[in-house]
Amino acid sequence: MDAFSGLADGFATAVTPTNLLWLMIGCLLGTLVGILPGLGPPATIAILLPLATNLEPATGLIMMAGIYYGAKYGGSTTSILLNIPGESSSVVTCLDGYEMAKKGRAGPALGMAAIASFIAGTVGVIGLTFLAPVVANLAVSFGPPEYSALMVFALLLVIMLAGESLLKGFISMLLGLLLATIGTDLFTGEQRFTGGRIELAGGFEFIAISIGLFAIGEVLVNVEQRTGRQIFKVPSKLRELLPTVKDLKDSRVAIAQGSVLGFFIGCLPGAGATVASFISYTVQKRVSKHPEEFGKGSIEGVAAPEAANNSETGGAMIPLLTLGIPGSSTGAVLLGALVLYGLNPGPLLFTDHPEVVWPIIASMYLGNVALLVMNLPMVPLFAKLLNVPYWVMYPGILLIAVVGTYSVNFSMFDVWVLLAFGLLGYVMKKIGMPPAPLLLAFVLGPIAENAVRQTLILSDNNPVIYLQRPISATLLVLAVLLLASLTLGQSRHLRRQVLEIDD
Amino acid sequence: MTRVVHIALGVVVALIAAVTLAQALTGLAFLGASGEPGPALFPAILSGALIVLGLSLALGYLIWPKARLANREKLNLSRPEMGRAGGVWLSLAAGVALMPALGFLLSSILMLALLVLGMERLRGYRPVVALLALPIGIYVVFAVLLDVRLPTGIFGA
Amino acid sequence: MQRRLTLTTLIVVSALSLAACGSGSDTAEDGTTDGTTGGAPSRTEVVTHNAVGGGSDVFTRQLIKLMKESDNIDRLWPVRNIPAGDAIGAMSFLKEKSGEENYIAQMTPTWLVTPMTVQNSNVTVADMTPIAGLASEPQVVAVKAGSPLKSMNDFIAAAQADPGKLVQTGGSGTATDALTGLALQKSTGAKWKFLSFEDTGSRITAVLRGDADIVMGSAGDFSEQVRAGKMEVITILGSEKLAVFPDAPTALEQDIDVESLPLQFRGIIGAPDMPEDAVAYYQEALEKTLATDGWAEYAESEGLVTDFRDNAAFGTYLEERTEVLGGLLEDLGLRKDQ
Repeated sequence: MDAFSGLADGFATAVTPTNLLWLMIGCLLGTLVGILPGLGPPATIAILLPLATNLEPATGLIMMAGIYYGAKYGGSTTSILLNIPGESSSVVTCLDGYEMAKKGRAGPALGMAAIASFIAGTVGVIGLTFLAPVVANLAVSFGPPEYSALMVFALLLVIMLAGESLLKGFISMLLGLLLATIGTDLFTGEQRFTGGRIELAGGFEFIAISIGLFAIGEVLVNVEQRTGRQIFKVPSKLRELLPTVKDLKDSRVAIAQGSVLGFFIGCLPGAGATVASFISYTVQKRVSKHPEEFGKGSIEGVAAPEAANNSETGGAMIPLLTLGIPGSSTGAVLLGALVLYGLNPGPLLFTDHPEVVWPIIASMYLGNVALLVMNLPMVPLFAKLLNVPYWVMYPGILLIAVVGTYSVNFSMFDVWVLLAFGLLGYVMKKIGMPPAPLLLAFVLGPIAENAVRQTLILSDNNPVIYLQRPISATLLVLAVLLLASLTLGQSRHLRRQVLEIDD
Repeated sequence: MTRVVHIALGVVVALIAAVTLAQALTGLAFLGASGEPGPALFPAILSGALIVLGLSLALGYLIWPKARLANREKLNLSRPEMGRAGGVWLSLAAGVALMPALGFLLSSILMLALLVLGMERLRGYRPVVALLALPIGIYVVFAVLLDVRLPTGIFGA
Repeated sequence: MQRRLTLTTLIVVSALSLAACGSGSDTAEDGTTDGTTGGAPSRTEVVTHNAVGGGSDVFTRQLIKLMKESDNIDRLWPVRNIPAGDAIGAMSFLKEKSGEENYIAQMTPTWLVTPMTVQNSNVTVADMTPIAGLASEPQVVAVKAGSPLKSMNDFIAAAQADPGKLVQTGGSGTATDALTGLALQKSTGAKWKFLSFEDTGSRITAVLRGDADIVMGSAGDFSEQVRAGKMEVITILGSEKLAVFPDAPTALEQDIDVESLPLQFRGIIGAPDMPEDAVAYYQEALEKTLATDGWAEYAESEGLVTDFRDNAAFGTYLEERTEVLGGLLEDLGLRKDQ
């Protein structure tokens, strides 16, 4: 069955009242879940599994796909308004989204997030529809050397987020990498730096660190002043509550690049939406005409990661549907659901059960439209939320942070980690050390280390293997070029700083 | 003040890294069974690099002339402001510490009372309503609607 | 006047919220309000040490589904995933629920092995209440379709000819497949590399890509790939053939000593000091389910060998396996708890 006829049949099935109803429910739930920090699509789908197994396979899976998508849309809301990453993939949106909110541009930021998500999500599903077999091969040929080359490339990009002080940025990144080593070593099963505590055996909980560093750190900085007044300016004219035409024009490249990058990175099992959104953000910073605005409220800095983390969904479904290999933790839950329905995910899923797979894909198109329609009108409403006086908002933020973190593993230890990193986030802001490199290095570190060690096991400690394989060789060359351009750029920066002193 | 802080930061970072390095080298294997990297390799390299960077930061701020530093960003380190932030953090910690004992609802109400009435020194019925409504609202959304088991203490919620 | 208003509001709202949390605690879990009347446990939860979607998680959900379909239980029991610490987290959770009747868990040999590879685990399976042994899950050895290796002996011979060249991919260094590989290397004198990947998907792609020569796992891990013609199963590491891979020779046929290898099995245990009638209830429900056709079908398609053991027999079995695995870990230098 070729793509067009399959898709046509899929739409026919997807547009039934039952399926549409459950799609809406899924999207709504997903948005809610995305807004609330801590609870993510995997946990939500897991909670709903008993309910979903009572539905028809296609219907249940359509609902779950709706949740998956909805969460990506919702996650950006708290990132922009409150600097709380609602979803791990929305961390990067915090960087510029929140800054825009502080400047009174929360509405445009939220609107752009929705629009970018819609365009990219649709691109992702189109990719899924027509490129699945091709991309599946790419996913299989990505082995340890390729992953480690990609991670080296990504870690170099992290440096670009260093901001003013390169040294402090580096320290932040290294701290993140070091924190990531705490836990159980994959290869030997030994525990590293856990001090015998079981709670650390799985490493630090990412949500605890990200919410602590970003949300709580920000709250602590803001409460330094008496909080009678409002922190943010909130415009009241409708026109200022939505993105302008100029905003849309400025973000063209960001959305395009984010969609493509997000899709391809999404189809690599294990890479994930956080990696995709972050790489897209830094690439955009590199190619933008106004890189100095990144980190201070650039609309491109919101468009790019939001696009990437939505098209990633389309990409991540490819290894799941074509090979039976989940690309992300949500994918793993969907895999479990497929198994429970008696559909065995594997290379034959498309041929054996087209009547389930194509409706899911078709409903992803519909889901994107539905979510855009649901989210855009809510933008002015959400932006107005910032009118709430800060003395009410910040205790609320603290409480939601605690509850959200607790809800991940039901562990008070995680909440204490949250508090510790909240303090650390505050201290880092005070001393001018950027928190983003720490967090992103924490995500990339384990992937990088495991990939490098796997590569060296394969090649008997011989690094030549990187050059022997075409994909990793290409990535390494790109990384070297990036490094060269960075050093040239930095040496100009350094020279300027040195010259300042001699005046 | 900026200078001292940076020097202290550099030293602290280097110290933590040194401790980590020591732990890594003594506790874990450097190389694996057939010469491939073991669990200690990466932590060792990372902490080594951190020691170097931490010391560079400290030394840099130590030996650079004051004039050069004047052009770098000044840190905003006012005591009363940091005191407020510290107070908020301590209130949060107190609330969290009480949660296993008193359960989510009670300890969050107490925590908010500390924040709104204590830190912010707000009076009147509006703050009180807020400090009760927020925990209850969050409880309803998470524990009741989403079926997330929040900490329950001796009073059962 | 303002003060009195504030005070009244405070009292009224506090009273309301305490009432709310009083009724809320019926829905919230606090462990002390469930019925210990001796009837069927009414709020059972099944713990597993995988995240949602993992092998044990899917098996547990399937098992619960089969139990409900055969009317041996009255509602679908919720599954609680506690992946922290490779079973230590799950066991710690169960230990906290000592004496209660509602908490059971689906266990695999990982639960026996992990505490022995850690220096100071304060929980072991010996603390828990055995309920029933369900089935063994013989590991299978899979290769890329078209590989020149046709049996495990082929692989071992090739590895003996070229030590340290061939690659077996699998999970963590102390997982069952790793231990099996190490045990085989020891007994045959062959030597090969072990490449760890976190999840099964990556291991499968490693084999498909050619980075690895063989991978071990349960039948369910590879059945779809085999059906699609991408992989082949060359050996069943057990003594009986499996219906789902009818052409694969068994290890016994190849003169490989199966008894000394770590055996993958699945069983149900309960929280420490679980009341006897709860244990009996669970055991009976499981025994009846395992006798149904639905289970037989499932077991066959998943490559499971049904082997029901009641709580006493299972307890003894666990002690046995702990000894065997402990000995294996010691020989390999991986035992840390002594």
